[in-house]
Amino acid sequence: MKDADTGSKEEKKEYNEASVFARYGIRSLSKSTTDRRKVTKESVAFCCSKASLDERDINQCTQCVI
Amino acid sequence: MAKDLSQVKEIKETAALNGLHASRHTMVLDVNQAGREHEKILYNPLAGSVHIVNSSVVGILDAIRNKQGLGAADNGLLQFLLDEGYVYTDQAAETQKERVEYEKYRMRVQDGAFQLILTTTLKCNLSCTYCYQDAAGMHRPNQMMTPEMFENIDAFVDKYTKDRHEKRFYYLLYGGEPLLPGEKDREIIERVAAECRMFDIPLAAVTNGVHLYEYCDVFKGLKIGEFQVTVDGPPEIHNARKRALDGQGSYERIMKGIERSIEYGFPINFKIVIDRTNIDYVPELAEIIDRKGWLDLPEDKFKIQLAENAALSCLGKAAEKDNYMRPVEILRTLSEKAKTHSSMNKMFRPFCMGIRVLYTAGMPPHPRFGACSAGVLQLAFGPDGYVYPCMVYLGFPEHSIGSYFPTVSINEEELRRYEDLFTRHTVECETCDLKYSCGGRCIPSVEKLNTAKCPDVKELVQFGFDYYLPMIEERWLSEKAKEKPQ
Repeated sequence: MKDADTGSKEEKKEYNEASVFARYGIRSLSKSTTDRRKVTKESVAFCCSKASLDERDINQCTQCVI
Repeated sequence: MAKDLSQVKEIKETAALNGLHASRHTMVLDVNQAGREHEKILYNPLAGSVHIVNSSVVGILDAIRNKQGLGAADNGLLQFLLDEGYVYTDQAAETQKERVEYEKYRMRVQDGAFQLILTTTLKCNLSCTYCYQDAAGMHRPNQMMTPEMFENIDAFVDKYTKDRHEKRFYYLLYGGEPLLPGEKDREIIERVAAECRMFDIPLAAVTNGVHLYEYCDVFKGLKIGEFQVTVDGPPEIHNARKRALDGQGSYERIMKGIERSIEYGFPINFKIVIDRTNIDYVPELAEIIDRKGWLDLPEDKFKIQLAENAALSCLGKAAEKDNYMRPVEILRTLSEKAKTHSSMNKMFRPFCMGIRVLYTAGMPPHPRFGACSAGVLQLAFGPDGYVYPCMVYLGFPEHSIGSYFPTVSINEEELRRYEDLFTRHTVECETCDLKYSCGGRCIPSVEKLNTAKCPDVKELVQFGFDYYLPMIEERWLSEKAKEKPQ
């Protein structure tokens, strides 16, 4: 398993990613794992919502935000 | 952990009988674009993985899930599936991943700020057609939070945090309507503002905005999180839904308050509650706010919050139920309107179960462990002296978890119930494959309001990809291309 917070996934690759990706039409829709630590922005949400965690924490219920 | 290729080969050979475990949290979604029928989207919110793949990969995942032979699967692909958390060596490995992600979540929660909801009054100067507080039969005592009561909140928080983590906190003004024009209404808000100024405490408000204009000076210089204000359409539509008790329309006054807030630099969360009676007017509203330049403001200064009209579907307004629109229906309708209306297109950035985050942050949302933070990340202080686990229970003292005035007390047993609920999805959601995208239900909605229905999770996620995929691909894939050495 990759570790999203340390960005260590890329260091552990033991297969030819380019070849596998080309063969199976694989494309990641995320930024590279090394960028993941950069997302630390604190979002403050209110109403029926959780208090601020980070931008990737979904802190609003689906009745309020769709 | 990554496996070396010999391990993968071994796993592959034995997978048909008792080997690999396909994550049940992987969603397989369509790429709804002409000529791309052979492609699929794999999205696993637990692992935080999201990829476009050829549909043959889905066949291999199915084979693993159904414990069939994997003759055609190559080792590199299996390695990819293992690395990305679409597949695990066994069920226990996925369970371990769930534990790890949950611990990370708990740590983020411990670092997060605590929301203290100051319900200065339950009175309101509007009579909205869809008020959930009225529909739920909330008791609205003619009491107000006084400065003396406010000062006692510290004592409650001290008692509450004694055996728990000490946390940063912020105040949220809530009602009823917190920003009323009366002398006593203003006195308590000024007292709260003075406290925020003195101790640099962030402040936010959920307000109908009718008197926001007159209150802006009170909030000047404070760290304002946001003012959530609801506008449901152009003047005639809005005024019919959100009727002012003084007989005057509320629209102009609200817009004036928003305008002044923006001038003062206060972030606005512009909420639109949508159903069949106003959805056709949303583009006109978008045009109005676009003309004011609000859609050009950065999102941390002005954001749009589209909301379903939950009161129509669940709160006993049977005669109006036909006007209710499910979230995915709202999004599909507005998406069509956005194709021919430039302001609507500019305004339309729906949330879609967090798929929007994949576009804005470049990564999928964290897995969601529960959607309810009642009693754990938020406490609501009522004008009646009771403390409630969240704002939905206000006015129902039988649901209080203690009191802060005149005496400070905590019902530890009731509070522990919420703390227990926080640590897991609601029971009926526990076995759902989609729970890490959805988070489960809001506890008071289940217990009190009967508004707890499943929110069409997969349809909302699919809509999110339909809408955002072209933008995501354009942005991130072109950035990746730029990063590649020439």
